[in-house]
Amino acid sequence: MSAIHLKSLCKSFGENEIIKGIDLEINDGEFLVLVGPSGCGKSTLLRMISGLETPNSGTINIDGKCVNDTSPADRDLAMVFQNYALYPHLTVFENMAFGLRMQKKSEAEIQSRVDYATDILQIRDLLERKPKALSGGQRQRVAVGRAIVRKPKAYLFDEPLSNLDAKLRSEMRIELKKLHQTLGTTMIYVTHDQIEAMTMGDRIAVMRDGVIEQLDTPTNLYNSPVNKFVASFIGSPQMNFIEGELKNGGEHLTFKTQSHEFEIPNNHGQFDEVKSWSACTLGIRPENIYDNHFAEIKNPQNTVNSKVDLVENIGSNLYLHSSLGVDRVIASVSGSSSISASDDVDLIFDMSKSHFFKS
Amino acid sequence: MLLRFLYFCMAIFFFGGCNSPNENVTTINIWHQMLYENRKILREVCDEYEAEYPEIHIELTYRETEELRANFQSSAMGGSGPELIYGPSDQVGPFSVMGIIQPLDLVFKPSFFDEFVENAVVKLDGHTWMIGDVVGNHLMLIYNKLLMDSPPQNTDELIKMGKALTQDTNGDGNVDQYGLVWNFTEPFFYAPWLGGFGEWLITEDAKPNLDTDANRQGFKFIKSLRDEHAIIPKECDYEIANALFKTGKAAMIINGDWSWGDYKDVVDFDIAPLPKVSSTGLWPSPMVSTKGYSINVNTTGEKLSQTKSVLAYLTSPEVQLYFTQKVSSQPSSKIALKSDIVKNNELLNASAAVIEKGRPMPVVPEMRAIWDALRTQYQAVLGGNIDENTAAKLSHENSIKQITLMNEIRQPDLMGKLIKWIMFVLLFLTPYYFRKHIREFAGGLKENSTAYWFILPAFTAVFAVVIFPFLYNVIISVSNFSLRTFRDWDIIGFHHYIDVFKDPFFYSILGKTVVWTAVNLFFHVSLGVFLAILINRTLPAKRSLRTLLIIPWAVPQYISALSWRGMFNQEYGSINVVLTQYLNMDAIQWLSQPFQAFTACLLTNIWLGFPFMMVIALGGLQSIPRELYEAARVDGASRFQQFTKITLPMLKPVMMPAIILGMIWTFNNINVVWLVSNGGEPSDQTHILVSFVYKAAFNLYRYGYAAALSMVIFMILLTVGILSMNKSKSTENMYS
Amino acid sequence: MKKSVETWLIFTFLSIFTLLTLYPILNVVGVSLRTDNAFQSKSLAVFQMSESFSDLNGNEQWDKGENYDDENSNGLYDRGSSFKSYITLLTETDFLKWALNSLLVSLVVTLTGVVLASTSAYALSRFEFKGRHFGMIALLTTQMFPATMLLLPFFILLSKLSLINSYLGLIIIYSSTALPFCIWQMKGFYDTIPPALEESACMDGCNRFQAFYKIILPLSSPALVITALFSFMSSWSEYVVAAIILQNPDLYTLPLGLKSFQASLSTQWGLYAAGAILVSIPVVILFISLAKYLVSGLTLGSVKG
Repeated sequence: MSAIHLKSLCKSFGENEIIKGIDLEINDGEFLVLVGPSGCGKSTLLRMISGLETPNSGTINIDGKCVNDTSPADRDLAMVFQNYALYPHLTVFENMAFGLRMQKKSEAEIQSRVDYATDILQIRDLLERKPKALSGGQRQRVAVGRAIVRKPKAYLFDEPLSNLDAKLRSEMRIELKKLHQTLGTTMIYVTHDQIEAMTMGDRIAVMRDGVIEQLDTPTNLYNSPVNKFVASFIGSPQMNFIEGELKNGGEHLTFKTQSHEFEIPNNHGQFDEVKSWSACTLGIRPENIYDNHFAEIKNPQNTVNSKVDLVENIGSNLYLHSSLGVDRVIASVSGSSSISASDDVDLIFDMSKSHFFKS
Repeated sequence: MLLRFLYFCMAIFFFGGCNSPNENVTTINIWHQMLYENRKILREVCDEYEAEYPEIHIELTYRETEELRANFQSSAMGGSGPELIYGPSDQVGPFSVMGIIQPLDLVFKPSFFDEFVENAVVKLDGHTWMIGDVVGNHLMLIYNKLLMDSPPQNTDELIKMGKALTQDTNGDGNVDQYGLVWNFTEPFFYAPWLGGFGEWLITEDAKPNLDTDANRQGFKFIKSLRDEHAIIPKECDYEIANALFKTGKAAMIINGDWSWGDYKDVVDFDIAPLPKVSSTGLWPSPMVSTKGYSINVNTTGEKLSQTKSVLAYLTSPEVQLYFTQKVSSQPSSKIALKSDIVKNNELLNASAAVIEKGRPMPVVPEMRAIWDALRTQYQAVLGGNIDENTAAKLSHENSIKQITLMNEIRQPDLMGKLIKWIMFVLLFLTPYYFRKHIREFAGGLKENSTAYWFILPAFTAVFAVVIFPFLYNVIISVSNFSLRTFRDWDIIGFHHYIDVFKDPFFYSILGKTVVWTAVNLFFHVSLGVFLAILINRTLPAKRSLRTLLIIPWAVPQYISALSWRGMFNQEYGSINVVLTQYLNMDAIQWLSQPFQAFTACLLTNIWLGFPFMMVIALGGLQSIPRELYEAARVDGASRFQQFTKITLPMLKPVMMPAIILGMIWTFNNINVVWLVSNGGEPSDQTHILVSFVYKAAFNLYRYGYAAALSMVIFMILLTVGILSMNKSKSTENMYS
Repeated sequence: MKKSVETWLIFTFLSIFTLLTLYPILNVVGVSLRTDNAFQSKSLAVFQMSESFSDLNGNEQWDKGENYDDENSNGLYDRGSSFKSYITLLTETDFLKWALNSLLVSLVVTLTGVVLASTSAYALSRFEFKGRHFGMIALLTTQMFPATMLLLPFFILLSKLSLINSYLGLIIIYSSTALPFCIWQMKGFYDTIPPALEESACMDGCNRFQAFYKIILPLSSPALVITALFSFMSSWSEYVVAAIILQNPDLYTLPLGLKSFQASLSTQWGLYAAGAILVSIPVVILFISLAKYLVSGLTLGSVKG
C-alpha cells in the first residue's frame, strides 16, 4: 500500500518529447486511471512508474522515497501487460510463482499465496496448464493472478482488457473493480477506453500529448470538463460541438449560430465566466438534447426543429443524428420514442447542462 | 605496436595454451607425403631410432604433396615448422628460393654426399638442398600379364596391340576393355613423350621449351590414340585409370613406381619402358626424381645437430634397404644399391632400365609455371578447342609470361613510400573523421553498458580472429610479396590492383562468378521454395521426406563433391550411365569440356545448397496465416495467383536475409569448384574468383596479386551486400 | 477424390526426387563397401552382390586377371560388398582417437558458440545502442573475404601466440567463424519474442540478465539448437584450418585423419569412403533428430538490424 508522487517528469525518445513535465499525486489505495488517445504518453508514464523506462528529468516517489534509480525489480510493483506477457514455457502455477521464487519465498508461502489468488480469480483448475492452452479471458485472469500473488505496493495495468471481446471486457471490468475493493491496494490503470476509465477509476487523468489535461473524479470529469478535448474524450456518444458566438444582451446571454440562437439560463455554471466571450464553441452532450414529447422543460427558445438523418437504436435509447446548420448533432432520446429516419423532430437543448469552450 | 598489443591481450586472455614438452626429450618433427603403405615403415624405422636414442622423439606428420608445400611455407614463414621436410625434389626449387630450407652443404661434410647417387643429391644455384632416399617416381608401362604376354616395343606396336585389346566383351555396343589407360590429361603424364619426339620441355638454363615440333607431335599423338585409334578412353583421370587396370578392364597402364604396391595383390603385372616412338626411334623419357629430406631454415644449434643425425639415419643404406624389402623402392645409397636385396629384385631391375631412359626432374621453381601453362593448352587441345600449333605456341608464351610474373621483384619506389605515409596518416585521420561517432559511442558506453557486456565476448572473438588477417591482406595487396621476396617484402603500391583490372581474364572470371552465383541462387531459392510448398501440404511421410531432403546439407562438402566428381565421369559416372543406358542419349563429356565442366560444378552446388533454402522457406510458409489463403479463395484467386500474391510476398522478408547470406557464401564457395573441376580444369576454364585467388597464391606464389584480388572480391561483395540490404529494407517495410 | 490423387502424385514425385538426392551419398556408401579400393564402377547399383568366378583354364586364379579371395570358402569370389573397410578403419587406424578429438573440439566450440551467440544476439535484438547496426553489418562483412587468403595470416598470428598444435587455437577460430551466422539467426529469433516477457520478468524481480536466462533462453531453445548444430557442424567437418594448426598426429581431428588416406596419386578409397560415411553419420543423425527445430528455429530475421 503506498502513495506514488510524480514530480515534473519528462521523457523523450531522441528528438521526440513524449512526456512533457507531469506532476501527479496518486494516493494510497486509490484506483487511478490514465486515459487518452494512443500516443499521448500514458503507457510511457506507466512504464516510468514501473521502472521499465527511465525519465529524462523529474522524480518518481513511492512512499516518499525517490525510486528514480531503483530497478523495476526492487520497486515492488506488479504490472499486468496488454498481451498478458505470460511465460509460455511455464505452467500457470509456475507463472504465478515466478515472482515469488525470485523473492526466494518458501514453497509453503508460494503455495498459499497462489491458492489465495486462484480462489479470488477462480482459476484453480488451470494451474497445470501452459498459457498456450488458455483462452483469452483465462490468460487475463492468470496475468492478474500473477500480480496478486506478489502482494505489491501497487498494481500497474497497461491496457489489460483491450484484447478481450466486449462481453468479457465488461465482466473483467467489474472483477477488477471488485478486486480493488477487496485488496485496497493502489492501482494505476492505463486505457484508451473512456468507459473503462469512467467505470473503474476513483480518479481519472486525461492525457494528451504528454501532459495531463485534467485530473478529477469521473463525475467531475463528466460534468465539468476543463477543455474541449476532455469533453470530447469522455462520454459516449461524444459531446456535440457547435461553433457560434456569445451575445451578451444585458440580462440575457445567448449563443448564436448561423441558424439558431440559444438562450443561456443565468444559473449556468459558466455564466459569469463567459459573459465577456464572443466566438466560442458550445458543447452539449447527446443526453442533454431531449425529444420534444418527453421533455419536462419546454423552452421554445432552445427548441430546434430538425430532420433526422439516421437513427441508431441501442434499446434503452435512440441516437438521433441530424444536422444543425453546418454542425452535426446527436441526440440521445428515450428508447420508447418512435422516431425514424427522415422524420422531423423538435429537439430541446438543455442549455443549463451545456459547456462553453474557447475556440 | 598495435599488433603487439593485440598479441598481448590475446595471450593474456587465453593464457597458456601449449603444453610444455618433457624437457629431457627433444622432439624432431618430420613432415612427409609418403604413401599409405610407406608410412608404417617410416614409423617403424623411427621407433628403432628412438629406441637407440631415447632423448630423441620423432614426430611424423603426413600431408598430401601440395598441402605439405603450402603448410610448410606458411609455418616456416611464421618462424616455426618441422625440422625435417620430406617430399619430391621439385619442392626444392620454391623452398630454396624462398629461403625456408637451409643448404645442406653447409651442414654436412662433402664426403657425406658421395654416398649417394648423383640423382639423389638435389642441387640448385650452387648449393645442395635435399638428400633423397629413393630414386624413381618415374612413369613406365605396366601391363596385365593375363591379357598380354609381352609389352609393345614401339608406338606402332602399342597401337596395334591396343586395338586388339580394346574390346566390347559383352557385346552391348560399348567398350568394356581398353588397350591402354592412363591419366593422360595431366602434363606430368604427357611429358615423357616430349622426349620421345626428340625435345624436352625445359632448356638447360631453365627456360621453357614448349613451342617445338616435339610438343606439336606429342599433342597430335595423344589425340590420335584417343580419337583415331580409340585405344584409350575419352575421359580418364588417375582414379579411373587405376580402377580400370585393377579390375582387368585395361591391359596396359602408364603409371609410376608408387603404384606397384597398389597392384601387387590384385593384378599379375609386369613393367616395361614406355614404347619407343616409331617415327623418331627415340625412347620417351619419363622424369626421374628423388624424394628426400630437407632441413628447415629455422632449425639451429643443438637441434640442428640432432636433426642432422636423424637425417643421416633415415637416408642410411640400412633404412633404405628396409624400405626396398617392404615396398620395392629404388635406393639412392651407393652401398645399398650393391646389396643383394636390390640386385635380386626383378621389379627394380626392370625399373632401373626405365630410369636409364629417363631424365632428371627439373627442380627450378620455374617448372611450376611451365606445368601450368602446358596443362592449360594441352587440355584445350584435347578438348578440341584449339589446334596443336596454337597450343604449342601459347603454352610456350604463357609459361614465359608466368615465369616473368613469378620472378618479378618490384622494388619499392616513391609510390611505396607514399603509401606508407598515407597509411600512417590514415591511422590518425580515420579516428578524426569519425570523431563524432566515436564520441557518441564513448558517451553511450556507460548508459548501455549492459548491452556492450553482452556483445563484447562474441565480437572480440570474431574480430580478433578476422581483423589481423584482414589488415595483413590489405598490406600484402600493396606489397611485392611473392616467391622471391618471401621473407623480405616491402610495400610497393597499387601495381597488383592495376594488374587485376588490366587482365581480361579477370573480367571473364568475374563474369563466370556472377553467372555461378546467380544460377546457384536462382535454383537454390526456386527449388527450395518449390519443395517447401510441396512438403508443406498434407502428405504421407511428410516428416521423413523433409528430413531426407536435408541430408545433402549435412554431409561434409569435400565428401559429397568427390562423389559428384565420380558421378560425372564420362564412361563410369552414374549420370552418363543413366543417359546412355536408360535414356538412349549420347554420353556427355562432363569434365573435359569447359561449359560442361562448369555445369557439373553448378549441378553439384545446387544439390548442396537447396536444402538450406528449403528449410528457411518452410519456416516462412508456416508463419503465413491460413486466413490469407481463405480470403484469397473467397476472392476467387487461382492457385497461381495465391502463390504470386500471397506466398511470394509473405516469404520475401523471410528469404531475403538468407538470400543475401547465400549470395555471399556462393560467391566465395571454393570447395565445390576446386574439387569437382580438379582446380579449374579443363584449361582454367571453370574458375570462379575465389578459386583463382587460391591458385594464384598457392600454386603460382603470387601472394600480392592474390591479396589484391581478394580485396577486389571483398569490395564487390560489400557493395552488392549493402545495396541489396538497403533494397530489402524498403521491401520489408511494405509488409511489416 | 481429386485431392487425394494430387497428393499421391506429389508424394510420388517427392519420393523420386528424394531418392535422386540421396544417390550421391549412397554412392559413397557403395564405395565404402567395396573391397577393391577403387572409386569407380560402371553400374548404378550401390551394393554389389558377390560374383561367381570363372576359372576356365583351371589355374585356381580368377580368369580376369585377379587373384581371388574366398575367405568364407563358399566357392564364390568375394568381391561383393563387405564391411572390410569399416573394420580396418576401426581396428587398424586411429579413427576412434580422431573421433574423440573431434568430439572434444566440436563440443567446446558448440558450447562457446551457443554462449557467445545467444548473449550477443540478445543485446543486438533488445538494446538500442550506438554501433548496433554497424555491428550487425560488420558481422556480415566477415563472411565476405575469401577465407583462403586468411590462412597464412592465421598461421602467423597463431604461431606468434604459440597456439599451433593446440586445440585452443582451433577452437577460437572455429567458434568465431560460425559466430556471425549464429548471431544473425539468434537475433532473428529473439526479434520474434515480445519484449513484454522480459519486462514482466523485470517487474517480477529479475534483473536484465536473470530475465534473459530464466525467460528468454528457455523460450529460444529451437534457435539455440540450431546455433549448436551449426557450430558443431562447422567444426566437426572442417579440414583446412585444422590442417594448418594441428601437426601432431595425436591431435588429429576426424577430417584430418580422413585426409591422411588421401594422397595425390594413391588414395585408400575404401577407407576414405568408410571414414566419410562414419564422419557424416553423427551430423546426419543430428539433422534428422533436430529437423523440426530447423524449421521453427531458423529465422534469420530482418536485415534491418
